[in-house]
Amino acid sequence: MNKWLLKVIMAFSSLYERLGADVDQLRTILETKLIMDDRRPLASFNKHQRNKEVKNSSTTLVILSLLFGLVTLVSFMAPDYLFGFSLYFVMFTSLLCMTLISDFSSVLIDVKDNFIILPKPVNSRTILLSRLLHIGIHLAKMVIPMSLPGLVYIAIAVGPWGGLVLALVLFLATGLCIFMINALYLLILKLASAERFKDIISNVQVVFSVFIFALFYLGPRMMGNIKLTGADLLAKRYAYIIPQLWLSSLWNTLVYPHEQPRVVWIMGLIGLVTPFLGVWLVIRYLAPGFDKKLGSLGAGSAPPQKEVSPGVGTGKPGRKPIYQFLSGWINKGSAEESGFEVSWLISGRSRDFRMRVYPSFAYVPIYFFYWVFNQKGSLSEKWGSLPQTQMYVLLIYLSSFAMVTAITNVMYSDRYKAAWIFFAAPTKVPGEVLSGAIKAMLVKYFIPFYLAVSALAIYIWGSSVIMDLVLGLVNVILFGYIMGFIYLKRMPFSAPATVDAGSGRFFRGMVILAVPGTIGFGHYAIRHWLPATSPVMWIFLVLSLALVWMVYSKYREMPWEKLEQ
Amino acid sequence: MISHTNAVIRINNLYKNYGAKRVLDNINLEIYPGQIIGYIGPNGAGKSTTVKILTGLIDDYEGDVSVMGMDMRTHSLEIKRQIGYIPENAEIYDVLTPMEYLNFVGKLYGMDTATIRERTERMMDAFGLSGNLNNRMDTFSKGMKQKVLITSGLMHNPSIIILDEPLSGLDANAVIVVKEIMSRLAKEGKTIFYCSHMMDVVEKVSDRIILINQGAIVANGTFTELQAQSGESLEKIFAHLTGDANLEDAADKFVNAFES
Repeated sequence: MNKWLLKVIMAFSSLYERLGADVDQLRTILETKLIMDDRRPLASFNKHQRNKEVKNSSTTLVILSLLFGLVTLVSFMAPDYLFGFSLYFVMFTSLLCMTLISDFSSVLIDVKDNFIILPKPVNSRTILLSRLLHIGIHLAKMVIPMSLPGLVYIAIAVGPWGGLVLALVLFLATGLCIFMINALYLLILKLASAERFKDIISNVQVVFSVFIFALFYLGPRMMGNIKLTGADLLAKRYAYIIPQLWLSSLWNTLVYPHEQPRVVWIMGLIGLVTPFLGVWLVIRYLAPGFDKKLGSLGAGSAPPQKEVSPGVGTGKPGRKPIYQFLSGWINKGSAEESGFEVSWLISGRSRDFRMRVYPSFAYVPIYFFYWVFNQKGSLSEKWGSLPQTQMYVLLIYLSSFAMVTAITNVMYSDRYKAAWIFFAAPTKVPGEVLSGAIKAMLVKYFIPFYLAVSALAIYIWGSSVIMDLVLGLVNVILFGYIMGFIYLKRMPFSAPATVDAGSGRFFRGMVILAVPGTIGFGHYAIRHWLPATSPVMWIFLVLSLALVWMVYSKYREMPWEKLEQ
Repeated sequence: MISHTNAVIRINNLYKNYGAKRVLDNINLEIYPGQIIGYIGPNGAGKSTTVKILTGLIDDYEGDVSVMGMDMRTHSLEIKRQIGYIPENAEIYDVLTPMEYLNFVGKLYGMDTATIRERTERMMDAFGLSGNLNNRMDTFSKGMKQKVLITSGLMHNPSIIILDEPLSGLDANAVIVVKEIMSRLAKEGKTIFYCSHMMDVVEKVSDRIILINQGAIVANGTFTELQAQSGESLEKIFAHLTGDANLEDAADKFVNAFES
């Protein structure tokens, strides 16, 4: 596919030459970049794919984009085209923006280029053009398959004119996405230091992936409930600022000009002008200096020297940071403390870890509301009848998902080689370090999260569920340790993300579903028959605590031989 | 010293600031063909900045830099074509194979595919890597990547070669090979600009040693000339000219930290 793409692109080589680029160099750079794209795993889609050697990322990207395109067809179930297209463009633009941000920011800010291409005799026009064309190719690989299903559907349902207009509006929508992402990048770069840039981008990625997840899980549910039409949408003033409505208006104005009220005409016009205005804005005001700032991400800038605080070296102990205080309090022995502290610190600073783990905390409430909305009746009825249900059990055990993600990801890092220190240090059993790591995940991430979940539960169901929350917490912690026992058999941050951690995937999947499911069902059954104050609850609490203690002690003794290499 | 008229690299009154911090403070240099220049200095002295200016990576400096009679500001492309640069941080597109990577680099220097192919095969063979030509470099050891990097910097037969810690990661045999390559290339009339912290290597390979400290040149001459100034080994000379305090004191402090 790349060869074919390259041929199409290079068909315009006389134009590039006139723009001042060296055509041979341009072809070489693009060729190489496309090969590298093919071998780079896709960040947005297969986060958990741990293939040894990635070969055909672009083909995967095209197929996935096509699938996404099919999903967007859902929006045409809406009663009219004004609303339907608004929804369609919301899906299209959010998907495009997300994939662009997560897959392409690495390409756009490839610091290696500074070292590899810049010292070579390549002029700046060639470099700039190669960047633009590279971005263009990448976009085409996504946008064309993603818009194909919609185009075909509309061309059949409405007619060829409708399809043609949709193609135009999709083009504008793509422009709008590029503008929004550019504006976002440039704003961040203007406001924040270059060093913080990648951090901020990764946070944006986390938020975005949660948003998409929520959109796909909750969107159709909500839609099933709200039979909204375009007219309803227009009745709400705040809807007028939604750019996707402008795009939808543009399509409707061009295809059914006589049936639209004046406001749709106006919004259509805005939709036509905005992308161009946006691109002009970026070029005129935001872009100057962008490259220079990007350049300073890698080469050139000497890191600012920090003032050395006077306490250092004099042997005076400063105030202990909170994590060290906690560490001394919960852990037994320095090995466990070191495992706890290193996991606490690195998990908060590693972009990789945050990208993998943080979204799962947001998935819990999303799953929960997905279940709630799945019940019969209208939205408000469902919400109103919630206190009479036992859904809090579901909420409690769903939260184990977040903990499992945190625990199973402590072992991964892109700086996995630094983990040699664990093996060089005189640690008696790795179990102690690992136990510290699990405790760090519990204390730093899970318990605060669980407190928030508890607050929500008490808000909905009242204080009568406190006992359930306590029992649930112990059970979920038990589950966490069981997962650690089966799964976490590598030192913290010691494995590259490409390594699959042994012990059969299928088996692991079963455990993740079965254990909390069984415990949760048991909990549900008990509470179905008995009140929270029943002594049976106390018996189970004691039982669970004993089990936690057992698994924990056993895990803490894990010998070197059990560790996976 | 015999005065040559045709300096290959000429640097006049070079200043460079990062914000308020001055990193290069009036550097003046003339370098002649066929020489190996050992460019040394402590961390943060301005070595990399000089190299980045010479390779055209940094263009906002004060003063004049000319290479082979061409001004760096106006002829950076022509100059880049004459330079082979082997950077220190060993950045490389490691999802590519050496064959693919070297083909990419060669084409950026305007070489044709057949020449690239032939040189790649012969040079990699000399480094004992002919069996790995078509393996992706992400599995390579540091030494193997370094060999590819060295090849990528020399393949287009440059007249000026700028090496920044080129021996890092190489095994003892490869070090001998690379050192021998350098002296052969210098004999052919190429200019070699060699940055390193390995004083014993610099002492042996360099025709001339330039020592910079805090952005300024503090010594410039042959090893024997520097010896006459201060101390018998380059290590001592280095310490004498750049160490701000008694280095034995530092060692004392360090070891005494065990006592409480």
